[in-house]
Amino acid sequence: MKGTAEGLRLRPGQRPWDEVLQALEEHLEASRGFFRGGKVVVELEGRGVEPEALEALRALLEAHGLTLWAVLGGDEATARTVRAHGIRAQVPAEEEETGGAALFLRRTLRSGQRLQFPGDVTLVGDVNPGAELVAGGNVLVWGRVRGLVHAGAFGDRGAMIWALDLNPAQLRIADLIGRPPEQRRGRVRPERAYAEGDRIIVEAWRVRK
Amino acid sequence: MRGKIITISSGKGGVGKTTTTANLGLGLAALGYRVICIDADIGLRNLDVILGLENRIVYDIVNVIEGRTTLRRALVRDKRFPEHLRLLPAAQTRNKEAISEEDMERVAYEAAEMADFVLIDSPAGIEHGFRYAVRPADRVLIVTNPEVSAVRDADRVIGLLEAYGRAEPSLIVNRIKPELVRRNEMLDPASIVDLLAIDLIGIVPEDRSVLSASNRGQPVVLDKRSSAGQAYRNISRRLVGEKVPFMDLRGPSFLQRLFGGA
Repeated sequence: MKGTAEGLRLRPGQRPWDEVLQALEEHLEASRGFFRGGKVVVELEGRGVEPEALEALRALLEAHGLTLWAVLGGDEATARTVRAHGIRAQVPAEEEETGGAALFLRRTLRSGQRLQFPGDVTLVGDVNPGAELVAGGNVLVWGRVRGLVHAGAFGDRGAMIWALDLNPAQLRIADLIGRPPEQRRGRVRPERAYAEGDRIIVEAWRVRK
Repeated sequence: MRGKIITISSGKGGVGKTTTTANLGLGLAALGYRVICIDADIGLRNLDVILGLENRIVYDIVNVIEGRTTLRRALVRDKRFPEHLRLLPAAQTRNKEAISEEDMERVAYEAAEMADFVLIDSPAGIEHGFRYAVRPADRVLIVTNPEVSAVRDADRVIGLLEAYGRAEPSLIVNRIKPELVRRNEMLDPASIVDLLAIDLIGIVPEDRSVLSASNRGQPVVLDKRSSAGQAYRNISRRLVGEKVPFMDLRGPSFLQRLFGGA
């Protein structure tokens, strides 16, 4: 199970479906609505899937606000079954690459406001103290970040955060949480944050020439 | 012509909403405008005390809404400007549920027919009392103190007003101590305005005379020697559309910082 910019990617391997469903349910319960709005891609890697298992999977995901978007990598018979349930059996490469969904917003998030989006977010404005910006993918803030920003919220540690002035209460990337040092360092400059190992690294955001 | 309805709000309590309402009400009356102040803080009646009108109250806003009396009869005339300033007191023995948003709108619109300005003193918080207080407003003034928590709450209120689709509010920064700002021990108005990103309409310096004036029921706006009084007189003039420069609270560097200088 892996978080992506838009939701989850499941690789059930050869485990029995009821085991897979149980593990998935536990994961979704523990996440308390975190994945709401996300899309799920299942990679069968050659194994088959029975209509009952497919329906059970879909029902479980929908109960947690997720969409079963695509079931990939089955043989021709499996692909027919998948399509018969109205689910994609194939995804164009570029769509899988970019995830497709992105949000562009021109506003300031004020205290008590929360923006949640299952994809990349570009915000032209500030994230004020007490505001929360949560994205499944990357986050770019053309402004000041003083509240909370969470990128890769579905668990994608490859997600990044960029801001002109990154001075947040807290930064999160996937399951990692970072807090800025108590003392503000130096002058304001554009910065970016990414995960390395189990830590969030913040560094100057420079355009290479 | 219908008068303008201005609601004074803040989110956080204790930042000086009621004091501001009283001073602006008197300030506008002193300029010759007809003003009606509405105390919307049902159950925590204060505006009458600060205006020094407590002992004149007969009816309150809930009596008007329940039809026990007319608005005109419930209004308490100010002792200093009886022709210009009138107060609609809150009910002290009731709670906020006694009036609805529509009730407040009806009363405020009726008051606006009888005055140039209707000032509504909003309760603290962001619940029902806040919502009915801003409902009829043509304009909202947000009062904040140079404290992180007050600024945060002001930001929350501004966000809610945006969500309600209200006109953009204006900001009053209250209780600034210039010497503390100079020593970087207090948030300066420029950085508050920078964060909240709304129009600044006044900065009121901390002034000991505010407290004693409120306690005596003689708001400081009437005191020609008080710096806070001067600030409230300036805000009153800005409310009627005059361009009044901001007071020089800490030498030129203060103004430079405020207007995007160094």
